[in-house]
Amino acid sequence: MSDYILSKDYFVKVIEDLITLVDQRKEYYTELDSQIGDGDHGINLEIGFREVNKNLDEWKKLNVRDFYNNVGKALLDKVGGSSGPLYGSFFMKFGLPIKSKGPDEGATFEEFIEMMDKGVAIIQKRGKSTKGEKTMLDTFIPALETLRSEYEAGTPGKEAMEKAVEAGKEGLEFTRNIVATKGRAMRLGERAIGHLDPGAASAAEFLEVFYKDMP
Amino acid sequence: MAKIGVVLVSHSELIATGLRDLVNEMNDGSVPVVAAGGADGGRIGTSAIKIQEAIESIEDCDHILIYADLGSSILSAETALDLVDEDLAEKCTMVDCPIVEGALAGVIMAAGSGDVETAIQASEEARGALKLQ
Repeated sequence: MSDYILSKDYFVKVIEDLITLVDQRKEYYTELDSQIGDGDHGINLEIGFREVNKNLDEWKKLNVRDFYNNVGKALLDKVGGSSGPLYGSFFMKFGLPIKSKGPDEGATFEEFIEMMDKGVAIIQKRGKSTKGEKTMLDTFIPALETLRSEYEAGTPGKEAMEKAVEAGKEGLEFTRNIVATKGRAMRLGERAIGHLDPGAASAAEFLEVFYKDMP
Repeated sequence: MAKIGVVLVSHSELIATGLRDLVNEMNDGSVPVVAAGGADGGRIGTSAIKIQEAIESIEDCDHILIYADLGSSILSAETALDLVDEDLAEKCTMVDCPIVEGALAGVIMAAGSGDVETAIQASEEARGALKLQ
């Protein structure tokens, strides 16, 4: 299945759809965050993606690597909370494994897996965290592991991503049952149990966009 | 004497600029102090880009000490260190201490001694400083 190519248009559409998603879901993310955090996850993301939207027409002319670098930098600069450096670094690293240089070139599915890998790795490094700490990594790590193992076992690209999204959602549900050992929610101890992690929730919906936009 | 610079990172732009003004009261002018507080538009938060620019504005220093307040200020400062040139990042140290007392002690010692280890140690000693006895 190495001939499964994700086009430049795919990578641009993902960002366009993430802008729409964040705008539609900002109240939900903020509501989750107000239960166990400082209640700004949705509004912070919305401010970040609004900045991305403002520059989108200009950035679309760039190759995928530079396009995602600009998206990441805008989030680093504008978001404000922890999701700024985390998602910002994710998108900045996401474009790096892509080997094609032209402004109209996309990526192979193998490259896409490496892109996800680089993005998730920087979140782990930045947050000095792994799964089981009630963070976005509880979504990202199982999703990435599933994406890789399914694809290596011969599952076609889009189907492998579908399974990855399901694994991410299971990881998200798992955050309901655990205490937080990272971020502001760690001060709540047992009181955090029963609540989804807002970062894990946005991450699960972000991954779903990556899946749904696949041809 | 080595030239030591300081970057102050807070969620609040006012805390960062206020702390800069406070530490400069004890600074003979030999230690450049740059405030990198708040998110874009004066909102509460931090910006890795703003911190990157603050570090780059004093890149002629031999050492740069970074003081950050809480949570995402640490994340954003570490992200900024990935964004600057490697040579510049190597000159930077994030100092683990209470930001007000630590930065004040660090600037006083940096100005007085020009020795970065002495300044860091003075800042770290502020971790256990008792005020009411």
